[in-house]
Parts: sequence; structure tokens; C-alpha cells
Amino acid sequence: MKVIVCFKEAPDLERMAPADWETDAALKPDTRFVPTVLNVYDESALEMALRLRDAARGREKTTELIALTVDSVSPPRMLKNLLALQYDRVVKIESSLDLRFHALAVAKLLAAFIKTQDDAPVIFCGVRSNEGDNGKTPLLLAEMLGIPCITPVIDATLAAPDESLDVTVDIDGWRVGQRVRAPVVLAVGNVAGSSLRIPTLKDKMRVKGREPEMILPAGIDVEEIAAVMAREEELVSLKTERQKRDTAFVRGQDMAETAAIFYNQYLKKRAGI
Amino acid sequence: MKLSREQIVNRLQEMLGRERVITDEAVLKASSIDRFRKYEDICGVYTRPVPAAIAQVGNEEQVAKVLHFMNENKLNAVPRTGASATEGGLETAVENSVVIDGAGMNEIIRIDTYNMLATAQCGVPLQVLEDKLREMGYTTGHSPQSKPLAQMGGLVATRSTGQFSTLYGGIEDMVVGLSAVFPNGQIIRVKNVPRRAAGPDIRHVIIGSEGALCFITEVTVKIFRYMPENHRFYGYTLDSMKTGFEILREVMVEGYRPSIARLYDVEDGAFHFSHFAADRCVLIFMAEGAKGIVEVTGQAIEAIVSRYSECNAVDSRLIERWFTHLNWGPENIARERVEIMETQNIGFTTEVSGCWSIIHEIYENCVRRIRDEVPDITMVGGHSSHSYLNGTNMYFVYYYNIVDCKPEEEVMKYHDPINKIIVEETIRLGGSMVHHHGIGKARAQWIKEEYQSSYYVLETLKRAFDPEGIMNAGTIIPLPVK
Repeated sequence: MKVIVCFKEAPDLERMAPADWETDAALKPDTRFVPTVLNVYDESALEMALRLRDAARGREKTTELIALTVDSVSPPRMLKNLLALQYDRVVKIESSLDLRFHALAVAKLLAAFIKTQDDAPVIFCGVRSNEGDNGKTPLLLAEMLGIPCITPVIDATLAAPDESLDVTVDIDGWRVGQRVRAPVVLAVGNVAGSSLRIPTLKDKMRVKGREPEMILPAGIDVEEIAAVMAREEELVSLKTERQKRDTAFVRGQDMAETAAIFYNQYLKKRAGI
Repeated sequence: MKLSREQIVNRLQEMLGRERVITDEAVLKASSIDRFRKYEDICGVYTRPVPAAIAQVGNEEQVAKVLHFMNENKLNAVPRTGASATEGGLETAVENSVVIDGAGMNEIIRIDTYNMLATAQCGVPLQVLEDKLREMGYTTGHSPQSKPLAQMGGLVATRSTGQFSTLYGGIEDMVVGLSAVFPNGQIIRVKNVPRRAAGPDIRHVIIGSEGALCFITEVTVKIFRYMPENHRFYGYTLDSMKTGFEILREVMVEGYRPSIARLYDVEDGAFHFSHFAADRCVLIFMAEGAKGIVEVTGQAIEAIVSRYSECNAVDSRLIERWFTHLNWGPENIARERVEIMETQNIGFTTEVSGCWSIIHEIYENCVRRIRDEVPDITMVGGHSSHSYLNGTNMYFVYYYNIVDCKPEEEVMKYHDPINKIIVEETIRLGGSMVHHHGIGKARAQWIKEEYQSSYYVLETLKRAFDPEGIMNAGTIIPLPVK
């Protein structure tokens, strides 16, 4: 089975200073001064793929893992860590374009690489990233490849004995299971307990000399991608929407009376009791 | 005759009132350790003797009563305030210990801006004191990473230092006077004066005593004018730690006192600075204080660094953003717990110091040996973060995967061997095995090697002030090996 995990690093917005949030002429906040972190949903996807590989050990057919990114900020050290975790290939699509907020362009680049693969792959993507937060990339990618997209996936396990996967999705708190076969895009959502494992120094030594692949897939026209980006939605202005809400201070003689007033006069009515 | 747990609890309740004596089993278990055994805590496996009770003292007299009672009955007392210790100092190493918790003694007693003094009870969180002072235009100058958690008594007891120590010094340079209670119930006060030559400076019997001699109840520290408008940050990437140490030395020897002078190696730097310093060391300075001093300090730093062609300056905003997220509060600890549970990867630090002539060798030897000798290491590196005229510290940072190991075996399999390497190499080369976390119980086993012939003084102090050995048994001076 071939598994391709699409991932990206994004700025750690928790580390932004107030001044960084003041938008520039292009109405973008300034993220240059904060470190990047692995997008949390992509991290879950990367770990989920490793667990699949672990589970497949000892089976007749091997699992090939490819980690794929188009971002320009992933530190080389992070890419090498994925090799140390035994991703068979770590591929970075080279691009000088600022792809942030351009889901269509990102999907085109990812699709171009995936189309060069001989085997039909299972494709994992994080459902969204903290940068842009549009949640479009997995859906656009699936559409371009003409394959199904399942979202938001919270678990994927090997289904014995063939190459199918049992996939669990979370829909408004309901868990739904389904059995799928490649090719398919699995958009990984909020998965508890899915931090990416950490390679040891010995793991890193084992892949010393191996480097992530920097490629521009055949059939990619950078100018066309740039044109796609130019046509995509552009933020032209920002306006604060003020929502006025009534405020009341609940005050009783003591905490018990305050709680009683709060319950009887406010909560009860809202809860329809 | 030894008192039973019930008798101990009853007597404490008589002295303090029932509400001040905690006997909840879960709280007691959590209070049997500190962050040195955070993996055991996360796994819910507690291997230290569970204390009989936690006594929440509210004033100096209560501390005196409790200590007197414990001394009379030869019961072990573990003083505690913010509970942010990392070296096992808060572990209850013997049966039927009582944790004496001073966190409730949290009154800021006086801020004297004429004599530049702030007096606080032991349980005042440093963050609270610092926030209050900053509102008034002053600062303690003390900023350990644990500032959101640590409290004044514990900071003094562990001989803490802070991120601005290169300018303001460690807590030992800040404490003007203090109060403490000794195990026989004796309450003492060291008065506040700018300097004294009336014999030995007895503040230093108490500062750094880690609860093994007395219970610190009140502290008076210096305060300084706070002028954030003058802060300047400087950052550089460079090839080698050796060059970095040379630059730190030149800044100090030429007489400049930046508040921050830090040098990160590649591995540790990757945690913080991967967005601008891929595979390079990082050198950081911050200058603060009066405008003229800041300008001169900044110019000197730039001039000194410019002598080294391998250094490349980076945008100061990169350093400023990094600095504002350096402290560790409860939210960081909660996040760390989740990450450890999910990845079974855990990180610790060990800090040492040495003169300029040996610090690079300490750094290189420790990193090399840990890499070679300890299994399942995922990262080992470090930084220098506190510099002096004569040398600097090394703050080793290391992470490992916990593999095929019960929670109760983690310290023995990984942490102790790493500490052993760092302590062995540092002492062999002539440095100190502890820079600012305290000895705790984790490094008490090497105390004689650390003190060498001067151990006589330490041992005599312990015997003189704690003849029954009831103060934080096993901390600083190890328990006898059974």
C-alpha cells in the first residue's frame, strides 16, 4: 500500500506579539518573527500513517510512506526527522510562490506530484491549518484527482486481510465507520492522543546522508499556478462587526443567592425549564 | 515512642485547626514528589513514602509550633511554597513526613521605594510581587522561568537565579534581610541594611539551604527602577559554541552588564530558533536600565561581536518575540503532561557552572558522553544563560523516549545516568554541579565531591541547626545508604 501524507508547517500564532497582528498593506499579519510549528492536524495525519505502517509489519505486502509538503518554511531538521521516523520518502515541492491562503494552488501542486505515482495511494491531509483555516485543500485535491474525500477522519486502521482501511469519522459527535480502498483522500480532524513520535539520535544516525527530495513535478507550470493564485479570492478589506449584547450584573447577598438569581432569572428561561 | 500517622494528624489539627491540615490521599501522593519525578506523577505511580499530612501554615508562630512539635518527635518536615522544584527537593523521603506549606503566607508586607526594598511573606508568588512593582515603575530584577509558579520562600531556599541575572545577580545578590524558623522553634530575623561587616554574613546560611536547615518565612529583596522603554535586544547566529563563549567572556571582562547574555547550541537552538537559525548556534543579548547605560552596553556588544566574522546579526524582533514566551506557567505544565503521555518522550534539564577556561570542555564532554552512553536519547544540547566575570553556566537540555521501562524505573534507567555524566564531568574539570536549581535529592549523592574539604562546614551547619535531622531529610545531604 502506498500512503502519502500531505503536511505543512505554519506560524505559531500563539507567539505573535500584538504589533504583529496589525495587518500590512496586503491585509496580512506579520508572521516573520515567530517560529513555525507542524500544523496540528497534519501532525495527527503523519502519526496515523506511521501507526498504519506499524500495524502492517509482518504482512506480505509492504507499506510505502511518503511525506509531501509544498510549504517553504519547514525546517530541514524537521524534514530529516521524518526520514528518521522511517518515512520512505520525504518530498518537498519547490516553489518560490507565497502559497499561504491559496488552497487551489496548493492542491494543484500536490495533485501534480500524486499523479506521477504508479500506485493508487491513500492520501492523508490535515483537515485544515491554523493559517488560513479554510479547510479546502483536501477537498480540492480529491476533486482534482477524481477520487473520494472522507472528512473529518479520527481513526484509520488496516482491515484484514486485504488492503482496505477501516476509517472512522466524527460527525457532530457521532462516530461513523466505513471501509475504504485506495485511492482516497482522508482529511484528518481532531484526533486525541496523536502527537507525532520523536526519533532518537540513533534513528537519525541511521538515515545520515539521506536528504529530503526537492522536486518540481513534471507538468507543473509555475506561471499557471501564479495565475491561479491571482484569480483566487483576495482579501480587500476588513470590517469589525459589532454585536451588541445586553449585560447585567447578578448580585445576591451571598454566593447561594447570586446563583439562585442567575438560575431563576436567566438560565431557566434560556434552557426552557 | 514514634507517633502514628493519626496521632501526627491529630496534633497538627490541634495546633493549626482542622482546615489547615490536608489528609486527602491524592493530594498527599502528589505532594510526595516534585517535577523530578514528573513521569511517575503522569503515570499515577508514586514510589516515595506518602506524607502523613500537609500543614498549611498561616504565620510565623504556626511554623514555629509545628517545627517544634516535629523536632520533639523526630518527624521529617519538608518546607514548601510554590512547589515548582525540579530536583527532588520536595520529595518526602522518609515515612510520616509532614509537608509544611507556606503558600498561604502570601502578604506583600511593604514596598519601600525610598530605600528600594520590598518585603514579602514566603508564599507571595514572584509574579504577583513583580506585577505590583511594575505598576509602580519598579522591578525585582528576578525573572526565573518559573516566575508564574515560584514563591518567594522557595526562590530564596533554592538559591534561585533569573533570566536577567547577568545584570541584577542571583537571588543571593538581591536578598537584603529575611526571617526564618529553625527546627527548635527559634524565630530569627536578619535586618535590612545596605551592607555589613559584623562577622560572617549569616544570610548565606539560610539562602540555598533548601529547607534542610530552617523554614524561610519572610524575605526582603532589593528593587530597581523599571524602564522597559529602554530595552534593546540583539541576536546573532554563529558556527560554534567556542566562539560564543569567547564573546560572552569578552562582554563580561570588558565590564558590560547586559541583563541577558545567552548562548544556545545548535540542538537547543533548534527548539526555539528554527525559523531563523537552521543548524547554527545563537547568541542573544538584552540591555536594560537607564537610557545612557543601555546605549553604551548595546554599542559595546555590537563592537565585540563584530570582531568575529562568523557572527551574523538577526532582526531584534525575532529575539523580542522569543523572549516574551519564555516563562513556564500552569498551562505549559498541563500541555507537557499531554505530550509526554502521547509520545512517551520526556525532557529535563541539568545546570552546572564553570570558569571560562573549562566551560567549553564541560559542554563538549557532557554532550558527547550522553549521546554515546545513554539509550533512547532524542535530543541533547544546551545553553549558557548566566554569565559572570569569571565564567558562566551551562544549562543542559535533554529528551529521551521511555522504552520498555516501568514508570518507577525511568529515573534509574535514564535520568540518573545523565545526571551522573554531567556531574562527573563538571566536577572533574573543576566546575560546580549545580548552578541554580538546587541540589535537591537528585544530586545529593555527589555532595562530598562537590564540596570536597569544605564539606566539613556544611556537615557542621546541618548538625548544629538540625541536630535531630528532621529538616527535609535527604536534601543536600543524602540519607545513609541502607
